[in-house]
Amino acid sequence: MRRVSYILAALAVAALFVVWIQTQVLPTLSDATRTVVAAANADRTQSYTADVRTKTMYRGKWVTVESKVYHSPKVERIEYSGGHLAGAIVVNQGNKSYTRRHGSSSVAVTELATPAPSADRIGLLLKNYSATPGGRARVAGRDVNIVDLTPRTCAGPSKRLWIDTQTYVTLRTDDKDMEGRLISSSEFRRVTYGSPMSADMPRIPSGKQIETASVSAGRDAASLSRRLGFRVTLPKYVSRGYTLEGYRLHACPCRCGHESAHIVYTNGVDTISVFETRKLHHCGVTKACDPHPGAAGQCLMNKTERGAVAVAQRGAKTVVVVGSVDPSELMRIAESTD
Amino acid sequence: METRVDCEYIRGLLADFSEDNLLGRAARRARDHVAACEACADELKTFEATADLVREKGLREPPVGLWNAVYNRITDPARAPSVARPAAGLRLRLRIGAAIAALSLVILFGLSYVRRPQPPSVANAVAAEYVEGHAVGSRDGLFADRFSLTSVAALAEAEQRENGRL
Repeated sequence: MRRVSYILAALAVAALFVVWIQTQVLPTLSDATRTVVAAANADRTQSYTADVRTKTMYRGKWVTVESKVYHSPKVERIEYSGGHLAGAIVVNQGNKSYTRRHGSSSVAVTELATPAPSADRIGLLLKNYSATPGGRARVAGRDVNIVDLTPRTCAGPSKRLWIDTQTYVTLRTDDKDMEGRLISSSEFRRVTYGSPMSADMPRIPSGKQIETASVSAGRDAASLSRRLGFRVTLPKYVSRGYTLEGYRLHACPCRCGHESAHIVYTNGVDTISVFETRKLHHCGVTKACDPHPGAAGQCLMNKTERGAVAVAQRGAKTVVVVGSVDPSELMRIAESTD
Repeated sequence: METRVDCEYIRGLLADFSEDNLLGRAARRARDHVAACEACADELKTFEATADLVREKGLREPPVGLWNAVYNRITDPARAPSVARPAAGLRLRLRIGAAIAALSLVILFGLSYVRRPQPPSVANAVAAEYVEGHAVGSRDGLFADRFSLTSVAALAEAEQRENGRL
């Protein structure tokens, strides 16, 4: 009789545990996912003015910049007021981004690959990253849900987002590298929703010269090959979870006219860039790389907080791969390119 | 025919042979060798004469406290250096030898370092150019920190400038 009562008690505990999982844990997880999906689209529906403080680790040092953001669903203007970007203005309009530095007479134009978050990109994000709730907090006087985006499979960079519980605008973003070290943090210090943008705010910054910094070339390798004079090809190997997002034309900021094909891969959150160029020696640099005597393809590496840079000579062209994954992965990608 | 090797081997046995402490084959071999080798026979005579002298003078007990005195001198830390310290000339030779050994190690290490394949590195100016491009190309990603990536792009461009690329 006593044994039967033990069994019944164990069954009751198990049933309570299952009920607790179904009512408490699963809805919370799906809430986090729903929050992420809503946050991915929030900037397409919300208008706000905000003061933002950003700190970024670069070459072992924290660098802080301050900015004021005027955001509407169609256009965004960012005025930098502190740090090394003080005086710079960035206007994001449509699928283009215009940047003018303080004291510069030229405006750099960057064409965005995909101006809006598509369902494919969100699906890719949710496939490669798990969204887990990190609790509640307050940022810029607003209630926020904290959501952690962590890679589902192998190690990779991760994010923590502080998402407004009412508007779903991301009010703070922390980026961590694959070893879990914080590499950047951007936080809204003050935000006002629905604030009207004055008529001259979205105006593209004027400049004597318009420079093309990076232009989207869609998904067409042929046009890039014709322009650059060599065959632009995709690497045969790419890290797990990353898919082709598109091709770009990258112009060297040295303004010497040197161009490279820029192939962008993404896993929904992180990006791997594959650059292909005829030669690395330009703009007066005669020794672009230190040769690696042990490798046939002169494979070279350089590491920053935003990822490593791997270079491999592949026939007549040089392949440069930049990303936050393991440096050996970047080298493997570079060496898999024909 | 006796060889030099035989002589060296037998002379190592002569002390025991002179005192009849050798047995069997070793004793026979020593006896045969001494009978045939004049030099070793002379050596044996020296051992026997020494032994006769000791017997003639009689055994003497060491003075009381000699053992303790020797032990104390060995273990006395104040005396230890003077006991272990080599002569000045030897010290100089040891120092020169140590210096040569250290120099050889440094040269060997340096050669192995130079000959070993170097950890690869991209020139900073080149890396900065493509880090800038990567940051610009990543700005429109989902949840991309556009403020930080703009900052990285500007820093990388400045790094290019500092490295003489611009």
